[in-house]
Amino acid sequence: MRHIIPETLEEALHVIAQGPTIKLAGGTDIMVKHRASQGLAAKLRQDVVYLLNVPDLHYIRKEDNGLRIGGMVPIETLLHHDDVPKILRDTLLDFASPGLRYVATLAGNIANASPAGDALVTLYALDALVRLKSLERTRDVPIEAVIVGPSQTTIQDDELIESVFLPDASFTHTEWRKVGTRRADAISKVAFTGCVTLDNDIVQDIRLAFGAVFKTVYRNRSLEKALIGQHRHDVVKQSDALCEKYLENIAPIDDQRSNASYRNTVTKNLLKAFIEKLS
Amino acid sequence: MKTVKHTVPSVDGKGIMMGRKAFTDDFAEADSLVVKVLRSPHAFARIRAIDVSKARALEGVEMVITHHDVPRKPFTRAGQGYPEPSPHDKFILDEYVRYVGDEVCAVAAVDEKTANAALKSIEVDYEVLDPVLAFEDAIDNDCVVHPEEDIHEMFPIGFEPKRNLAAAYQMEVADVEAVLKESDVVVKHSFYTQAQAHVMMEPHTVNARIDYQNRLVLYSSTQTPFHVRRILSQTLDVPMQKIRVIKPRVGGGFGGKQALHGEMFVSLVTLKTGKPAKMVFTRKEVFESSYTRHPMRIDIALGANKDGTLKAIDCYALSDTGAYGEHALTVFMVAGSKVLPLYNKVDAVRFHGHVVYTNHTPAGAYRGYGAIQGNFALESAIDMLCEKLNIDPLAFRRKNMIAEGETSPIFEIMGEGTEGTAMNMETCKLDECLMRGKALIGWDDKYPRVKVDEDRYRAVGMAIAMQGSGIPYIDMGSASIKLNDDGFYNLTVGATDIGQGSDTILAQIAAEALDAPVEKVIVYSSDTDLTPFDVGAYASSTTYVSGNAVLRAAQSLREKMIEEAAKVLNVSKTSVAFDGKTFSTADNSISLVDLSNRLTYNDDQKQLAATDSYVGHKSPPPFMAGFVEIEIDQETGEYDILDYVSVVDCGVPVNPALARGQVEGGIVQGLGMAVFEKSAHTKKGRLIHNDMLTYKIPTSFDIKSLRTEFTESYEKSGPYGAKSVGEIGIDTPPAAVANAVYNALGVRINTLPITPERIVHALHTLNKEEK
Ligand SMILES: Cc1cc2nc3c(=O)[nH]c(=O)nc-3n(C[C@H](O)[C@H](O)[C@H](O)COP(=O)(O)OP(=O)(O)OC[C@H]3O[C@@H](n4cnc5c(N)ncnc54)[C@H](O)[C@@H]3O)c2cc1C
Repeated sequence: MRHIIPETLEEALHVIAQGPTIKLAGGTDIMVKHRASQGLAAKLRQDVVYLLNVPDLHYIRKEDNGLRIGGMVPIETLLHHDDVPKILRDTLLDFASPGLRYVATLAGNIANASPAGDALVTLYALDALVRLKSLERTRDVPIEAVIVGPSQTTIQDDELIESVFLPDASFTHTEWRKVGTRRADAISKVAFTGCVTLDNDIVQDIRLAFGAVFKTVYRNRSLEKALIGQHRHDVVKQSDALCEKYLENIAPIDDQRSNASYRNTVTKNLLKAFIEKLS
Repeated sequence: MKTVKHTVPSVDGKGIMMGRKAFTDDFAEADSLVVKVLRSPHAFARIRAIDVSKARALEGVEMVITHHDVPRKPFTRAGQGYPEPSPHDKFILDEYVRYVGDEVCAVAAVDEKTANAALKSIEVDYEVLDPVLAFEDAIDNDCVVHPEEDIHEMFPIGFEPKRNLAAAYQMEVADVEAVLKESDVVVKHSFYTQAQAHVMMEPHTVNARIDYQNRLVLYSSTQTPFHVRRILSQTLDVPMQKIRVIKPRVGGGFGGKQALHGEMFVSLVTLKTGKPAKMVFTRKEVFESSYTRHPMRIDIALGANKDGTLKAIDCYALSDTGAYGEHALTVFMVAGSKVLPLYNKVDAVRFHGHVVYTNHTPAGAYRGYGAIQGNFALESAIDMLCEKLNIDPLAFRRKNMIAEGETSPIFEIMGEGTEGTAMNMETCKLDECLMRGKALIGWDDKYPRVKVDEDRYRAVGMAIAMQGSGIPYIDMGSASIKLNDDGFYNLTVGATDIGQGSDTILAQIAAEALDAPVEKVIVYSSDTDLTPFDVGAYASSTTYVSGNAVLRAAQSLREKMIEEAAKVLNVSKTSVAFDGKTFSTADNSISLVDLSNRLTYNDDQKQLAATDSYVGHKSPPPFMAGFVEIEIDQETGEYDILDYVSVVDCGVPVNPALARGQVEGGIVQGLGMAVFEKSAHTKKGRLIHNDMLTYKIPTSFDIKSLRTEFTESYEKSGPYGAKSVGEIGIDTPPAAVANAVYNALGVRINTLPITPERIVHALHTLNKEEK
């Protein structure tokens, strides 16, 4: 096993082109996953490529139609950056704890592909595009096509997350709710991001994303689409029916943090409260 | 008072912050063998065969210990009075393993890596047995956790291992059932508490070596060094004079170190190999293989008259001691004896129950020691009763609770294992605590709840509590103090500072008695060779019991010093005044420095010293009222603890900052049990929440405001008016939070922790019922 510390993106891409490696960003998932017994080093069985300090991946840049965030920007930096959409900052404020936020990254959250990844819920809502780069190619993939299941992604061995792109969007109202066991260092039992744009009381855009209640973050574009063009009062009237539809589709589980029945109830309550705020 | 009731800095705070060597592992020999224990993957199994040949053959492995290699002598790991009220039901190693994490065998190797490799190479053939996991089904279960014949109780405690009973007890004053029948209103309810983990920062740690006098010397992170010495000697058949146990600074105990954990193994290794050995528990071992709090089911029935007079309390408790019966009876007893006297005016009271064996991690001592479990049940039930009576819960408590000068028959009937001791409450400022707390939390404006918005409410809840100050006629503490040249003192005490600050408190008490500045009193604590005896840090005993010993010793040294000064000044003792610096008569004086130098170097030389001890003849309870304000969201059942107000009667707080630290530390730990700390097992009995990632204790983000006040109170029997304050803080949060949740949403949660899942579920049920 080798430890490789590339100094440039180019160098990193060369390393990962040679075969499977462990791509280490902040390590806040990797070190937990590979932990050994106390006092011993983590059991990493493949070559490790340290990406966190590659300068090429540390930028936040405004582009036409959106914001591009380098894959290795620590969460804490995003929290204090004015160009980062408020709904994402709201989300990241509930992320882990200050110490972890200084090393944890968006790329790590995405590639880790946990159904309870907090940043993911809002990235889904924001229609984030993930830029995957290898020596050969660069592809911009919608986040829901990157993550396919718990710990499963379509990222290839020779690819890394170079950056995340957030298309411009302005909402009339946004809401982030994280339900965890305590206020810091607690993985979500349920998480919710809601964004809505109204124009003259008519819904122009609505996005509803749920964490920890399905095998990936759950967003249902056809249910959302059906609400567009409706008067906000009409949407409010459908809130119960809408909740039912979401409950039919999500599939929460029992685990050591919570149980399925609680997750169902809370999903319903959070969605209902969000919709009813339109009245 | 010049020193007592003043906040002086801890004697060890700065050194510890500077990273000076302080903790047990800091003192391990560099060449220590590393001792590791192979732990059972099964909740219950018999070891048919164990093959350690590969481990023994590994380079660097010095020793492998199986149950074939150790003396078969039942003992209890509990460090409490002797003979112990805990059954002798444990062997160093046994052919049975009784919980996931139990000890199968131990290895000693040159380093941790080799020790781990050795563990891996050991092959065990288990006959897996059906475990007893549900504690409510334990009594007379077909599966018997302790089928062996050679275990026993030290005196009658209701020990019937063939029925899975570690202990049983029953007491009754008057005829409870009759009084309940006559009562206008009766409330009956069951409450469940969980196996809370201590989560002390320093894991269980111990190391051993043979010194140049050929004696076994241990450093141990223990709350009870003298008991460790005795139990090692009795179990390993090593003469007591051959053992020395040193307790350096302990990084937290909370009861979890009131027992032996690695001591047996490192001692065996060092005795056998002659080499130093050490053991540091992994965090998983701390969770899985040390101690937890005793989970309990408590069935309470309360009877009252319409006018709000409480008539009867009936309390049955079923306690789960896990695989071994350490502290089984005593924790159970405290659930009654330090809870029920709160309402001392009842016509009838009964407390009875069973402590059962199961195949879970053993339960043991934990701050609160049964009182927190009992308090959750009783103080929740009192609020339920008030609701039924339609009487304000504060008014009800004021009418029925214990007051200064009063007593309760329970004090005399229930002790810890044996009978108790009658006593009157010389100090009991419970009413002041309650009224002050009520004002501080803003009860009148907030009770029962205030609406914040569509979904959120703010609500208040409260509970009252009592504890004790040591165990009368059992807990003994002692102190020696000597005068040095240049006029400073050494104070040696058996008392055990485990982070609570007792070294500081005891120095303050000595300093007060000698009119000396605290820095002139150098404290050394808990070393079985060097310090006088003390039972150790438990049962809220140190300030009261050990503090009284220090006070006596210091007063007696002061007498001796005055006597010597009188000789020098050529007057009678009674005409000498001493202000801490100078001995003076009407026209003459000698300074302390001069006197001490003279006694050391010049004239009539001698060492002035005094030793004294104290055993309590009563256990004056501290009291408190705890008030919580929460903000709860009915959509999710989540709630924030906005504020916790504690008003405490602990007599005179010797060091107000440290006393506050004790109360607030207790409150946070109590809130952990009330709100966050889940303890669940897989179907096969493995603990799920066994690391700090999954076991959630509150963080600074969860605790927004703690406000603590002390009432004016002076306990005559305590040192400078002090009672205890170490445990009382932990008792109120579970009931106070449960009551606040009820006041907010009308749902009564009877199971700890009070999670959003339970609240949402209860709301669901409530809505269904209303429909
Ligand atoms: C105590 C604690 C609390 C936590 N709390 C939260 C929380 O509240 N919310 C939450 O969502 N998560 C939480 N986490 C999980 C974790 O912090 C996040 O998932 C974080 O975003 C991971 O980022 P990282 O940079 O540390 O990733 P790493 O651990 O370094 O990597 C995670 C995964 O991403 C891959 N990876 C990393 N960088 C790249 C790249 N550039 N291209 C391709 N693959 C890559 C790695 O190979 C690995 O598979 C917590 C973790 C801990 C230990």
